[in-house]
Amino acid sequence: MSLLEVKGLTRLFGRLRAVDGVSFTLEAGVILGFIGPNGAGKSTTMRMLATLDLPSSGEVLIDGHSAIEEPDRARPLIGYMPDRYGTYEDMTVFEFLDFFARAYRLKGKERRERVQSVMEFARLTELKDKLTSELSKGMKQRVALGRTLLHDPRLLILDEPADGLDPRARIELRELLKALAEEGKAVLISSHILTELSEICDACAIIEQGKLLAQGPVSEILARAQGGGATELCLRLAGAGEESLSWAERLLLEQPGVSKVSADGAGLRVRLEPVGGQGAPGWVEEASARLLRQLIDAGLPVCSFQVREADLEDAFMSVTRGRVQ
Amino acid sequence: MQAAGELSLEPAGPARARPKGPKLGNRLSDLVSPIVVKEIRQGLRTKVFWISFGLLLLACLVIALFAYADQRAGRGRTGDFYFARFTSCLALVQFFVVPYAAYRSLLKEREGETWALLALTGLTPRRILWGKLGSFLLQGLLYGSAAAPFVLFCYYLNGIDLVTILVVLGLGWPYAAFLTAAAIGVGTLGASRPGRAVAHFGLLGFLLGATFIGQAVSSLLARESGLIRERLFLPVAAGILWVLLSFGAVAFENAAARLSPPTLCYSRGPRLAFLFQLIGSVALAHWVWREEGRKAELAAGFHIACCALVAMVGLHLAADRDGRGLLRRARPSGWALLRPGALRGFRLVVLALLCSSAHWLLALALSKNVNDVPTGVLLGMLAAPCYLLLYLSLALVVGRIRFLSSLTEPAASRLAFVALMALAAAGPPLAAVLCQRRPDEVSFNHFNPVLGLVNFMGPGLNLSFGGGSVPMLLVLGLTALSALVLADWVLHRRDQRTG
Repeated sequence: MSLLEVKGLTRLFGRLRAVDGVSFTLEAGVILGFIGPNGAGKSTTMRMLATLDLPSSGEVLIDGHSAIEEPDRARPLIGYMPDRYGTYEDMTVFEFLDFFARAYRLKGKERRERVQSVMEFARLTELKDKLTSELSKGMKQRVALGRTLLHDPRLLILDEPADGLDPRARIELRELLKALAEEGKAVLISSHILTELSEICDACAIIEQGKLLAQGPVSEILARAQGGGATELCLRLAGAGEESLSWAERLLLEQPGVSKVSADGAGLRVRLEPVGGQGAPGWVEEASARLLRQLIDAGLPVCSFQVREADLEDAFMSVTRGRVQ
Repeated sequence: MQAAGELSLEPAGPARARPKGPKLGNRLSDLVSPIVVKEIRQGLRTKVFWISFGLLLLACLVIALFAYADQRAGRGRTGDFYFARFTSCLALVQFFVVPYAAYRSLLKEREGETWALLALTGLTPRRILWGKLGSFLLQGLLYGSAAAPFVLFCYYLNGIDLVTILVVLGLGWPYAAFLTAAAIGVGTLGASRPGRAVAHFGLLGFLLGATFIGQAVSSLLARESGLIRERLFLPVAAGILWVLLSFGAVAFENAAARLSPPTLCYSRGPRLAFLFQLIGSVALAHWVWREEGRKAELAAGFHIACCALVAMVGLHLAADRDGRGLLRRARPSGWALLRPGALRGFRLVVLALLCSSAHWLLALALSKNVNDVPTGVLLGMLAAPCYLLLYLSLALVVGRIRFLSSLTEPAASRLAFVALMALAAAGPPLAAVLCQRRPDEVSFNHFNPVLGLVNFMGPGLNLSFGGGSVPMLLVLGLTALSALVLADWVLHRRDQRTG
């Protein structure tokens, strides 16, 4: 059984379908990136998963407990961090965490040790006596993450946690999330900083206009973005003028498997497709080696030749159409 | 790059350094609501607390110095004079600063998104608001401790007895609690920024007025201590305490309901508070009516007051959202009157109104021969619930018309009720004047909830069919019934669709 099962989740605001039949699952120890443009329905979906809003239809099961029918059973399993961190400005880091630990009904020694443990994990021990108003955005974000961990939830729902963070704070966040996933926690993280997500997510779900357009392991999504096995090559010619480039273009288009050649600044971008449908394992390497040999044999001064790996940005751009509600 | 530390889920071993702190304090704080601990921590860190505390202390000290100088000079001002001054200073803090701070605290919680985080901890909105109310009353006690030695000093100046001091302080505390609960209630109003701004200014005006009234009453009781020994003082004080308690409870429960996530059964508390208030008010009014010799006019007055109470408080329940049932799979029936939804709220209010009306009519019928009851009283008692039902039903239907859809359903219905009542009360007299008739002309004001009621209760109409009063009442009753059926049908349909 998956830790999180979302089935046909729909949320209507009047006539607007903010979330439209979203379904996906999330296993323990997996980080799932929830990707979509602003207004796609990410935060609305996350609020429903966190039992803060009621869907118009559909079901959310967290470790088998319905977040709609039994929110009191589901809540202890959830650690939710909204897009605004939600800290009390006039409390110290320790007081803030201590207060939420009390709210989660942790008492006495257990509470003190839990707060201590969370502070150590999120590297907040040195900041414990600082007012949260004196903290940087990255530090506040760590405090907010610490708060979500106080009651030891199994599912973390993090809404845009990397938004507005500097590169160092982002790297630190990434490390913390990886450590949490290694401990067996399921992490659902939304973001529109796709390069960040691609480095930490095991799986991703792409949402636009409330509809889930693609979901699955990151490798599958990337393969799909490449259009059924197609890949792209980038090449540059040393000191090449327009004549050399057009000659190279003509030569490349004559090669089997090359479906498109386009200019890319001072170089060329080549779209390569397996001949006769799906390519055998290693076909990209073989085809690109053959192309390179042809170019060199033809006397073209190739100075750079590389297979361009598809990333989440490509997947996102190929799946979404930039529509907003 | 430092690696992330390990998050130990097990309790730490003995080697782990434990944070030091007062053991007794920690144990005691475990027994208190976490919200109280938090609010006290935050409250004691604010400038407002320390400035108010310091100014109160300073003001009391200055007044005490004047008192001392007066005594030395033999000017003859006694303890009651200075007690009134001390309580005025204390009232400013207790009736204005503390409730306003409670309002600000809740507003910050809502605006800073921390409310949702609190709701996820498993603390119910009612528990959170109790914690806030309790902590701000505790802050009030801290302020009180600053003024306490000076109040005691008044007693030794003579001119005021201990009973007066205790009664004034004893009445002041529930008044402060009521104002704090009301301020917390206002803190939950307004989903938008302009709405919150209106609520903010409304609260400031309300608290200033309430502080002035509190200061005036405490000064009056201090200077005229004989009032406390009057026969009427006890029932009036009990009535005021009841009003404070019941309206405080209603404001508190409505606040908790407004802040409840939709996955909680938010409607139970406000509806029980409404029933508690109505039943308590009817019981208290019945007791007063019996003590005052069971006068028919008094029964009519209390009955109309109960109708007004139902209109004021019940409107909030009837103007609920459509069909937001807690459990979608087990949709509550239309008669599960404590469950969410406008249909159930409306039916509860109608039933409560009918029960209250039946009580007063039955009490009157059982106490005297019905023929002895003045006609106007009987007509007024029958007409009052008809007017309320008519305009409440119409407001619920009008509030759901599409052109008002930019407003939320509850706000649209409440606004429609106020607008319809105002239109029905002011429109007919104006029309009568334009037609060069008397403003209170019966034929013009048949559906006027104010002048119509006055006309029914006046001497001009009688119970005979020939006098026209019974057909008029029948027309009013049938119109109210039609509106009631229409509203119930509309709400039932919407409940089915959106439940």
